[in-house]
Amino acid sequence: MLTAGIDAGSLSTKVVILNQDKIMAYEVLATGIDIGAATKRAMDNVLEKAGISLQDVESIGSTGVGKKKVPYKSVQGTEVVCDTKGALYFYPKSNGVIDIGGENCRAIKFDAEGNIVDFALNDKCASGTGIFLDAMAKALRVKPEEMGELSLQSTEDIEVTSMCSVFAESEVVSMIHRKVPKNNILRGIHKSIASRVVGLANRILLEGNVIIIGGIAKNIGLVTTLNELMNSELTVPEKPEVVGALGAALLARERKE
Amino acid sequence: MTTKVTAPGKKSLQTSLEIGKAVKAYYANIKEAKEKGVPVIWSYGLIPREIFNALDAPAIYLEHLPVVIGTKQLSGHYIQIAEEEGFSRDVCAFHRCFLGCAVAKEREPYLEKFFAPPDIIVATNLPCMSESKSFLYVADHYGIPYHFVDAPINTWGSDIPDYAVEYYVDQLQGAIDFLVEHGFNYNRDKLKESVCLSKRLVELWNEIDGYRKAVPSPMSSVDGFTACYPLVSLAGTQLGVTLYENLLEELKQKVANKEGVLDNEKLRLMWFGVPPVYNMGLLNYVEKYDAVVVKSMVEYIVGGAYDPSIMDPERPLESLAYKSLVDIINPTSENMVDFVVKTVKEFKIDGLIGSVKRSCGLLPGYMRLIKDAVYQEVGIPTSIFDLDGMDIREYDDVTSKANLDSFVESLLASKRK
Amino acid sequence: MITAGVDVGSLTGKTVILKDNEILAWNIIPTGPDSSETAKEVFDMTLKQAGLTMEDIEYIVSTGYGRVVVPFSNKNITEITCHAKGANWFFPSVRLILDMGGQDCKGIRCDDTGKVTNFAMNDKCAAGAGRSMEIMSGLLDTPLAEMGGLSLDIKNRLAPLSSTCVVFARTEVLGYLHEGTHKNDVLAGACEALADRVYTLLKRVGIEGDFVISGGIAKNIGVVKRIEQKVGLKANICFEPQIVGALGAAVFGRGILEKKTAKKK
Repeated sequence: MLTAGIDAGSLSTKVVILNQDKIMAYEVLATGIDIGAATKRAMDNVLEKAGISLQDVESIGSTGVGKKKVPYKSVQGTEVVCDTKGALYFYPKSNGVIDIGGENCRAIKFDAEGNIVDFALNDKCASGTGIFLDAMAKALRVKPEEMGELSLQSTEDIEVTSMCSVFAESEVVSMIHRKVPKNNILRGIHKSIASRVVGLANRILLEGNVIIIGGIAKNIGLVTTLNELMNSELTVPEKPEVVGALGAALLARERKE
Repeated sequence: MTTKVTAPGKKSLQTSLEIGKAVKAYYANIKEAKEKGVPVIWSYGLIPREIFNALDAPAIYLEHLPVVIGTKQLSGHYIQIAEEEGFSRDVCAFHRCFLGCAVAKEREPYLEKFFAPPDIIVATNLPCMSESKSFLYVADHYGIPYHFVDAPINTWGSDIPDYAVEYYVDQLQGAIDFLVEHGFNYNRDKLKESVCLSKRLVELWNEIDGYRKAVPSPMSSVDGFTACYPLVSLAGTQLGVTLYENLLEELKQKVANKEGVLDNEKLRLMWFGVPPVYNMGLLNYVEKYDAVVVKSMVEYIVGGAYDPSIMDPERPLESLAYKSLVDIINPTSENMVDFVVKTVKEFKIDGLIGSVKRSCGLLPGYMRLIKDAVYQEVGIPTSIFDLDGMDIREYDDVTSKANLDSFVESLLASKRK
Repeated sequence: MITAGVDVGSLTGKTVILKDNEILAWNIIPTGPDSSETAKEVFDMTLKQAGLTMEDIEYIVSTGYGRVVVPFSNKNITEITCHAKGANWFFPSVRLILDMGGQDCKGIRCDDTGKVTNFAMNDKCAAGAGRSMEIMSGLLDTPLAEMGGLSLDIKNRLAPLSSTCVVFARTEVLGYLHEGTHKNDVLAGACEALADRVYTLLKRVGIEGDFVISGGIAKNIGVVKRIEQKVGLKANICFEPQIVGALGAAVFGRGILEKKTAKKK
């Protein structure tokens, strides 16, 4: 059976095509202003990559903030449910997931059957993680994808104490002004984000086999820091940014069956 | 002022309309008294209403006025005014709201039906210390007399010692003396009568609760939020008793007919914390999942969670003192935690929603305790998230709904299995 | 007598060179990662423009966030003091100043000599208010300079933004855009929200007397018009509202020099 999963996030839109149990193709692109158009574009691309047409897809699942704006008839699921399904697909033995996206971050705890035991979304003042990282990359004049690597080359531990990304930004700007080395600032930024994430995970007493997903899971600096701070075995799946979309596809398949 | 996506709560009971009318009449009476030259008192809910009845004194309760303002989506406007006066965003949003309303140069015509400027203030430290200071500012602003009633913090749980009751009786007597000095006549017989009626009111409230435990639930917390109003402002009055008798009858009918809020009730939820008064429709939002908010904690923090048998008309002040001190909002974690656990069990709640109003110095502290206690004792999960039920400017529809969606979905999924 | 003021802010660095009571030259550049270098760069540019060398400047005062890292300054003074002084230089009758920069926003009351009598800073969560315009500019793909004008040309109806928090305002704006709201209407909402916050601040210091707006936001006609309407006062805006602090610093420099010369005599 061919199913598709769409994750219409505030910053990026992800689409996955699932053939039985195998990922045939996936696509990630910026959402921009028009969610409908972005989804359509991502869908067209992914269909082309998979060499199939929309008619071949038997069922579509959708998730993410823009799930209601998706221009296809779809089974809708919350991010919490889709993240869980996606994580269990990659790691059937996992019992928790941390999803770090552009605007939001969440921690989910589930049991072996995939029942959600508890979850927590970031509180108001801790939102905007991804955007904060992008802004910091700009301020420090480094490429976003290089940030993690550079942070691991730090020579001294410094602290960015603010929870709020607006204040953290001023804090970092003042460090730049004080000529603190880039690598050390980057390390401080990653530690600050990691400690927020750990706080979230601790709120639901998350431990054991935990999967980190979302675009920011590709950042080696953050994952390393999280590993230092958490009492869990953290695993990053191969395509961390499409796990939610994959979960949506799995949801669609389940409903169809 | 800005507007937001909001929806009024959908009520399903006839008596809710009657109570709504009683609210308007209550404020109209106060305005009328004011026009006749009777001083208007501003006070807080845990100064027993029965005392003002015995003094025939018109009193506005300042935890209720902000709710009136909030339900009309005007809270942001008045809170903004209080902030312009220099009040920090950390001051309780209810307080900022009534402070803004108190000092505003003009008010919306709708609010003028409810708003009567104070002539006398009777403040207390129950349930939190902020009241005394907010009221001091109002007293300064209007240049009016201020009296403070000191309530002991409950460190004893459900068994209040005599010396604490005696102390609070003295404090209440002090408030009575103060009001007599300012021209009110005190009628002890009326106080006794009020205590009788109060006792009846809570007996009825408990009976009502008995029917609300029915499956499917005959009444949602949207109605409950309106229905608890008599506990605040109509305690010790015949009108309060009559309204509850009507409510009880209505519920009896519904339960006999197995008529629920939802035809196909799948989940029963409880709300802890202040619900969004400007958007009570959020409580109906979960109904699309066949979930109903059966109960909310605020329905009790206004004096509805005590054993009415302690009310003795022959010892009126002692009874009132006891009832105030044992109130679950008087900061002792045990009473509140025990109460929520008991409610979750008795109402067969499937999930607890905990909304955190950051400017509250009292309720957010309970969240973790309650979440753990409810999970350990009943195995029921709690979802905690930020939601300022008073300040509409802080409201975030998308995130609030995302939380509810996820929570309800996970509850449904575990239920299916 | 030639003095200079250097204002190193979080987003821009400014320099003003003052000869007696006349502005010889001024410059504004974006603050780079190294604020000492920014200060040096903007200072050198201005010297060159005025046809002067470092030796010609008799006294240099620095101000702004980065005031302590200006290695060549003789003295540093806080920006609130300098803003009042600078506003007083442009408009001697001014009693109320709103300065709105990138990272914060201040309401200042002063006397007839430009001495600060009272001031208030934005509360915590409104800190990024000025920055919010930059974020909007990015989100709406509109140059900063055009935003004010467009915000006055409402197409359908103003899209209200209620959050004090910049991060949340972003989410609100994205929500509107996803629903297809016209960008002018969103801009109108953003300017209105900013004006609301500023008004709260000004009420706290007391609204009275002639009014000046300084800082980058003074260039946004959409915000200025809305503030004027709320405050009920016409705003005086000098030809370059971003140099008011640097100018105030230069004026202080001149005062200090004058005192020194008087002592010598």
